Amino acid sequence: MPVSRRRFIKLGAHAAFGGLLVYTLRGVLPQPGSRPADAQGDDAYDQYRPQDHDWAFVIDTMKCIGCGRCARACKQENNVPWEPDCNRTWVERYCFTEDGEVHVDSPEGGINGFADEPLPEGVKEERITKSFFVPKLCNQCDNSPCVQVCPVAATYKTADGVVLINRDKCIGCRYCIQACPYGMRYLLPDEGVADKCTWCYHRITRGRLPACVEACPVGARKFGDLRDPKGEVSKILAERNISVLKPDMGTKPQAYYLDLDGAVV
Amino acid sequence: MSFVIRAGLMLVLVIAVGGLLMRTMTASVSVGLIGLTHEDNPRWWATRTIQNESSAACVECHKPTRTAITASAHATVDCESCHGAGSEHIALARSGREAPLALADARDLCATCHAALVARPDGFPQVDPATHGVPAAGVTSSCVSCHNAHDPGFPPPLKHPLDGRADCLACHGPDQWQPVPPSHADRGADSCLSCHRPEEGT
Repeated sequence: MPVSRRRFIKLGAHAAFGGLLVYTLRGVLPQPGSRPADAQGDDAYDQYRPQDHDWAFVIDTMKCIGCGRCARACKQENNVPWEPDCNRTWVERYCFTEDGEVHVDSPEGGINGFADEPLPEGVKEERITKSFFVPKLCNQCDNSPCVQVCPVAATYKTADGVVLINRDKCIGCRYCIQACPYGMRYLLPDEGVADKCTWCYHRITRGRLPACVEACPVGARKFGDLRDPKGEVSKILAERNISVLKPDMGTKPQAYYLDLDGAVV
Repeated sequence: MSFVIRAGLMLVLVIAVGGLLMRTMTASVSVGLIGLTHEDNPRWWATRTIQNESSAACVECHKPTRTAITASAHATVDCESCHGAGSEHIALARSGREAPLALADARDLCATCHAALVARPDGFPQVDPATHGVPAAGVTSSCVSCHNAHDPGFPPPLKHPLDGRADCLACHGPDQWQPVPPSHADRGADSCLSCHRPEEGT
């Protein structure tokens, strides 16, 4: 039977619509046996249920002593290149002077500490009115500009609240580096893909603390699960004076700062 | 139903479905929903190798040291905060091989945390490395000559039991880091502690 042109187009439209519908539903419906083979033999992740966690980070700038052991531990833990521009976490030194100026510096991200670092240029110690250290790391924003701008959807937010980058998909366009209001992302010089702090995803999914939290000698960095209402981090968020960086950007950061000075950005 | 109404309804339906599809497909947050991406990527991140093993692994061999430090003012300091990432060291040690764990010159290392800096919190113990415990000319000394990093206490107790003049002179004898004044040269053998109270800094 010859197919009329009208019928042919109709069938084609139905097929296209059906195909799209199946494609859309594929990820929603359960797919038995679709789990990829675990090449590393690491079954910790098999037991890990991201939807059961809601990770959060707390930074206490009043405790930070600027030793930079966090930034150093991070570089070792995550094989971050030792180049000064490649930092997943770093420590900034804020100096407020009598003339109302705010001076911020972070030589090499603070990996060598500040003991041998001269004060920022033009700052004299006797003119300083207040000064403190501010550790910085990825805020794992709930409303992440970096995720929104990625043209190839290489970066995404996991169910437990961590923003990750798929290195196989990243094309190294640097759009996310521009988009992050906190300057958290950098380009890996050898791989040519974007990289940033993952809150040590390989540690937290195994029930460990991020390396920087463990390395901090004074407890200025705290990490916990908001699904645990009795946890230290949940309690701090409930009871203490907390704030986030650049709240007016609407990014909904998941890293919270305790008693943070209003001038910190 | 007239053709116009049917066509209109169809148009509305197509726009609605198409818009919904476009919305789901273009918003990065929902790309997982349509199976576009990242099924194994969280697993890739979750299976990276741990480099900082944490003190729980260190106590396998260094239990007395860790026990001492957890009772001291350095209780919150993880082994790897000072010694650096230990996974290589631990792997070597577990396989029975020599496992050196280099530690930078202690005076610099201690200063990383304890050098007096204007930005450091006030209550934190800080000294000026240029003047604190500087040895007399010709004597080398590091912080650990006097302080025990694994049991620093507060104020820092000295390494020896301080039970006599000989102990005191180990650090305060002539040519040591802080020699006794010349007027003290002829004082009795047991006499330092009859006047000085090291724990009070007098």
